[in-house]
Amino acid sequence: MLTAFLLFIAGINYENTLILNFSFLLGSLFVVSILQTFSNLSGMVVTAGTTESAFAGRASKFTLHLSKSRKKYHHSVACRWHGFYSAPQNLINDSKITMEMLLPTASRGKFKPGRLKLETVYPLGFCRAWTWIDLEMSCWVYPKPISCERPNDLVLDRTMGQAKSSEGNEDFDGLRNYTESDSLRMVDWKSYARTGALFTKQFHGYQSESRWVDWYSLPGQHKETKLSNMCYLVLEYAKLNITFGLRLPGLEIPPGSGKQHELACLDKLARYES
Amino acid sequence: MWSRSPGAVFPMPRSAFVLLMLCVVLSVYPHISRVPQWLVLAFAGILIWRIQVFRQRASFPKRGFRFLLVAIAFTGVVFHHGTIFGPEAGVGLLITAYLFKQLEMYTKRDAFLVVILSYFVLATEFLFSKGLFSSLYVLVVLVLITAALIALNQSDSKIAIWTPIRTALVFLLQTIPLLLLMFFLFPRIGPIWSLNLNTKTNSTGLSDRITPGDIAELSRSEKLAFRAVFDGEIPSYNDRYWRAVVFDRFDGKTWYAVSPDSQRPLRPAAVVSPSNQGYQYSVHLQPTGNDWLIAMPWANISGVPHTYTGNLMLYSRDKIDHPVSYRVHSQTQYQLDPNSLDLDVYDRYTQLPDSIDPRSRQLARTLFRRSGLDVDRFVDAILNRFRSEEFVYTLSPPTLSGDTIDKFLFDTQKGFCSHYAGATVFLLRSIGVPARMVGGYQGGASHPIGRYLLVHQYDAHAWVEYWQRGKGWTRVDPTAAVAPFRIEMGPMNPTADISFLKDSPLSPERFRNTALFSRLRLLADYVDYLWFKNVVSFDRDRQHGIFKSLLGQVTPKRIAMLIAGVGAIVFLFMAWIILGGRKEVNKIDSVDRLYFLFLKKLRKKGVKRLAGEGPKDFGDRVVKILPLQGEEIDRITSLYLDLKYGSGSIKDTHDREKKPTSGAIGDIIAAREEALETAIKQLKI
Repeated sequence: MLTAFLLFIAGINYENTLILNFSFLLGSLFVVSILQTFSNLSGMVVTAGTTESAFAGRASKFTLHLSKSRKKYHHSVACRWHGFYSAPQNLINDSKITMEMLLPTASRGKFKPGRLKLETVYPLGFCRAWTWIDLEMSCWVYPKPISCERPNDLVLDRTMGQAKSSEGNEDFDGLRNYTESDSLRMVDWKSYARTGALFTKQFHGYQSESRWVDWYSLPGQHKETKLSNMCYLVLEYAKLNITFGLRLPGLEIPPGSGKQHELACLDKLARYES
Repeated sequence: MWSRSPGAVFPMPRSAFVLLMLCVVLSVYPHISRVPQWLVLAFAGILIWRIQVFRQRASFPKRGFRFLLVAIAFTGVVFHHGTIFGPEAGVGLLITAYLFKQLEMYTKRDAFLVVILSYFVLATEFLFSKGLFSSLYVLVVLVLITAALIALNQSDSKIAIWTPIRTALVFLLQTIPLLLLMFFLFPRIGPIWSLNLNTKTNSTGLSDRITPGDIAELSRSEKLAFRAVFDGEIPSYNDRYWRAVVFDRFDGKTWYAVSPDSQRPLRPAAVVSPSNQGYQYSVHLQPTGNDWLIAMPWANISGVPHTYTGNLMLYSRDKIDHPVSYRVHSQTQYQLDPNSLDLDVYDRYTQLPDSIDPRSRQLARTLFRRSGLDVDRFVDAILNRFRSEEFVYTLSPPTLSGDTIDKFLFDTQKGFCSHYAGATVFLLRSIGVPARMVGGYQGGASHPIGRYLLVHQYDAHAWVEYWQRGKGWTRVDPTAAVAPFRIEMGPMNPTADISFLKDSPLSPERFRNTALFSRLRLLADYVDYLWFKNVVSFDRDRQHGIFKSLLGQVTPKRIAMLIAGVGAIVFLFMAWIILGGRKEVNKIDSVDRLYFLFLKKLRKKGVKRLAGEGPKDFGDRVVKILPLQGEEIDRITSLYLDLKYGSGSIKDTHDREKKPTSGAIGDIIAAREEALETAIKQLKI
């Protein structure tokens, strides 16, 4: 546009009709490029594809499908999402392409990258056409695995409450100071009555075939750390091909093994709210 | 600033690079003759270097070295032109900057800048040339530059080189409506600051002095001098004397044209014209580098600022560096200064150097005595002498030195128009008759299509005017006596000297006899003429005329309204062209589209879906009609129903887009759609 303007000045000053025409041509080209850039983006259909869950801090893969709604080409359309740019995509001969965006996640839970921006400067680079799209895509982010000692080297199959008492082979192991995340069932009320201080009973169980990744078995820690530790354990057992179950407050997955089971457990960890 | 290390070079697509290099070469090419030769060599070197960089055989020069090169080149260009002002120097500097930019084209931004500079360099071509063919050349290169820009902005590395070219061509076609609007309606304002265009046009026009030999050079040039477009009758060939310049001073060897300062303006009473009859025409004069206007005398000129001098020369106010057009009304029957000459004028036109050419002076006295002291009869005697003796008309005469007139008249007797005109003026002056040599053009080829005359440089001619009391100035053409064909048929007559075009073996004139070529040439000239007439010379006045005819009264407000109105229409039209008009693929749901295909197939077989008949009922009915394909039809029906009204999570397309978390479902649907498509396509009825 500046070129056109400078040439216009030159054309006027030199009283040169042809230089003026040249500047008019560039000006018109600029207007055409505005329309063409818009046209390059318009008529493009963006469809949400799959999302892949990821561990917190890692990138999660979001899949988008770009397709045409009109018989025309879309060149060099880049996607900007959650602060990340994709490589420019072309929809020329294919009527549909799939693009994958790796978006880094921060924390456990539901990850919503929000609106994405599609933009293009094709064909002439004089101007930019863009659009904001909210596909309401999201994924679950697993806790970040943090290694911890397996409680008692081997995970205890500890029964809590009535339902599990049939397996009860546990022995009383001792008392320790109460922490907030400890279950009230494990408080040694007798000693509370006696001393006025809260103590938690610790039990010692025997090794069994199926192990539990148990919220309660991880001694009182911060909630997220605890979940991270559980995540680590899930991955560990899955790697060692050990049958395990998952126990969270108010939720339990019976022992099992295999990829499906692992993913189900991780999913529960990701979704854990309270 | 961004990183400037060669490692951070923007990976330019191959097609973009090739196009860009092509544009660089093509936009500089027309300027090659205007820049110093070493710059052309540097240009080649830089391009090779840049190509090697692209092929990763070389690296970009270091910053310091580049600075040094640029400094040397700039100094060289300034030194070459002696100034940094004026178009040549400006273009030289622009090209230098442009060339060295190639060596620091790292980022996409740099490449973008090179493209913009290419547009600039290309546009400057119009400072020097305005012909149709250079305009077409510029247009072609403009398409390529735009293609390079497109190639830079696309990301498909495998794209063929012609794809962006085609796209650029489409864009250029799309600019046409707006371009026309701007051409006609964009207000043309006067120059903002005045510029002195010292363009050295390579004009081969008449010069302001003639030493025998000059016009021979000129005659070899087949360049166009001017076009004359007649409103009505075109004068016959031997009446076409186009007057340009008067040579009045003779130093024994060379004839000099007067300077305008030594001339007083023409007195209105000096010209007597018996009738108002004459020729009406327009002259489209090519750049000459002089300030003379050309017309058939006695001429009334309008359309260009000028002054008329006493010797009937027309001086334009400005030097003719650009093509100039003006209207002429020529009254060829006229008398100039019929009654008296001022003494200084008389002196000027009888001036001769003392004591040269004694034999010629003697001859003049003898002839004058024999003609009974009558000037007209004396002139006839001179012409008769040219006719009867062994005088030869040739464009490559022997060189003359010493008493040149004597040598010519008595020894060599070979020459062309200025030899004969010069000798005649000498003879007239030597007996005291005021006489002058006139330079201009004689003849001109009439154009079969355009009703106009083409006058070329080879039509350049010199003749004589002499003065008598009672008659004024009379024109006489001594060349007509010795070589009548030159006047009757033009210098391209086959009997003309064969060496005529010896300097240009590939001259188009060599092919003059080929009828087809001649027609093509004339046609090309006609198109060029139309280009000049309608585009190049479209100026403020013509635009004002358009405003006037459209608006009646020309006020800024009305102009603004006109531009806004037409502009809006044009813009909407362009938007409609570019954005609309393309068929939608998904006007209907893709599933329905597939199903319609199925219905169409059945319709061909005569099975029609009834109004209000659901897909399931229809499917069942079809199976009954076509039991052989029952299985496939059932499958199609169930797939369609599933996709369209499917149970569970599979909903219609609209919902699909809104349920992104169930992205996997999207893939399942896609797979089923594909299955439906194959089923329908493979269905054989």
